[in-house]
Amino acid sequence: MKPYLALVSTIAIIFINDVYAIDASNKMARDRPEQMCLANTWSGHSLTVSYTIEGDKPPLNTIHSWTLTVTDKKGEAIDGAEIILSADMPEHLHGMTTRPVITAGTSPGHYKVEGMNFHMPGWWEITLDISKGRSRNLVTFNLLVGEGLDMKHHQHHEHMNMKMDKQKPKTKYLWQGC
Amino acid sequence: MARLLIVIFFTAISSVSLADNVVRDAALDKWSESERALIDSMLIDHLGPPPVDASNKFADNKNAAKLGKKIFNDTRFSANGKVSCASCHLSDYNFTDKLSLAEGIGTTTRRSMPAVGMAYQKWFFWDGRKDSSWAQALAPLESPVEHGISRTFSTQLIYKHYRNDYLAVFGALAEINIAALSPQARPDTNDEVAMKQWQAISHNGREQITRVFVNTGKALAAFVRTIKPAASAFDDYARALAVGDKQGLASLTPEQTRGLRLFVTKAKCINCHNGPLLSNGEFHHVGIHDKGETDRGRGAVIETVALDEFGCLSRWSDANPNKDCAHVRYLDTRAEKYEGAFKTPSLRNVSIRSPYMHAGQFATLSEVLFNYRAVSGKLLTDEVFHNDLSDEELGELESFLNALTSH
Repeated sequence: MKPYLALVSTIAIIFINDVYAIDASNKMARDRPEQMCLANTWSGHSLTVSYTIEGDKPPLNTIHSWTLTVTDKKGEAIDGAEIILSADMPEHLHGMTTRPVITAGTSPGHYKVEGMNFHMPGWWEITLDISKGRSRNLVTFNLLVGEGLDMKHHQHHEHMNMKMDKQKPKTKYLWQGC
Repeated sequence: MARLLIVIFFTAISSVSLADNVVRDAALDKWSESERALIDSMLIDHLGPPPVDASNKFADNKNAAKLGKKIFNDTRFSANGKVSCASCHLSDYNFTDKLSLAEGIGTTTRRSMPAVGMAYQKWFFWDGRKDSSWAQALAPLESPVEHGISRTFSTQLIYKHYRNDYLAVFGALAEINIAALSPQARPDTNDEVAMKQWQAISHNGREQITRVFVNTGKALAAFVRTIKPAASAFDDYARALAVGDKQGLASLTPEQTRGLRLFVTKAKCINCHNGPLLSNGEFHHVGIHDKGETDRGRGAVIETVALDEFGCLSRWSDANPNKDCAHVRYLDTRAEKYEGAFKTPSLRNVSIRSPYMHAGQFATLSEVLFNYRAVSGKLLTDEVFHNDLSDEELGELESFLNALTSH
């Protein structure tokens, strides 16, 4: 057998014998940036988006709901927007094991997100692709799950940052003004 | 003189070991805020009472658990009269067994899973092909290589031996001539004879048999729900850390403490082994090769799991399909994400229940840890990050795993 045929058949055997769990296509692993915004409100040119989580912090390994609030620059509620949500762990090349469902909420400008589940602690990046009429916005929120730096500590952010500065953290976390 | 020297010698040794126990390097127990939060998240105290199982309204019924315990240990529920649930789920071996591949009537393709902490699980079996504990309990009964019986035979046993126990929990047992039916009858598309016998039974008869079978599973689940892990040396350490009890920190040896640090930081074990059970209950490919035919694991079942005959969304479930069963309703069913993926097992009591992995591929934790390092960074294991660990660090991780054994 010619050597290259042997190589081809070896590769073929590897592919036949192995099965691959693939959630990593078209994704690049990213380390945590120097500064990370953990605010739960995002403001762009045409709209402001915020979220609240059932309970007071993103739970680990628990299917839970979010409420999104979408308003325009005047603060008027935006209803009937099309919202596509994705959640990824940039350091891990994968996202959630659930596919959340977004429906209109009970109040104007509110949307209910059901089926959120963070199955690993760490940095999660939530991207909302929000379209209404001829306007489209990509909104990104960062979350730290299970690391004690979540919304529960929102009020104590100065204290937390001070403590972390002592330990010379790689990443500076901001809860406001970002 | 010689005797005196010996005494001095041993006194010196004991004082050295005493000093070793008392004086801990302060750096050993110094943790950042996020490390403390991660350690605390693994503490068994956070397990709390089991979450409501909406699919099983008898889950917390004490009489159901009593009935379930009897059936769990009853070898009459098998084709040869020798196999019970307890044959593979040994109460003195963390409710699993010592075999690489489980053996009932025949040999299965996977290892028995430890039936501990099941009340906190969403998915059951290595591939998560069942979405409730009661549905899980029924599958081995009708598996030809496990108990090897039918739902008809199982129901005949309930009528004959457990009538009063059953009535006490479920209230009614329809008067049908159950004894006259073929004990082989079951809806199995792979077994033509069993299927024909099943179809020969009246619609009402089939409904009654399945109802009793389902309730048998719900009683078994009520019993299994009571099996929980107990606290370990790690939990003593985590509690001490939370309240600033310096003496309590000696619950872990220095080596175990270094292993814990690796577990929550560099080795990233906590990515999947998180929460009080040290399992996220999800499915991951960890680069384990199968002997013989490749096992697709989660990838083979995820697209159809919501349609299971005894699923959370099925008519045999007590759940409200529009409100409960969130894990099924919102499941991302793209099979390509789960090819060759298997359930993350709990690490509680892991060191006292060898062998390891879905087909018992490894006999020791040391082999498991070395394999994790060997397969790190490969395409198929993008969740495994252990390639920068030294032999010494693998040893420290193993020591930490030993500290997860219940007191």
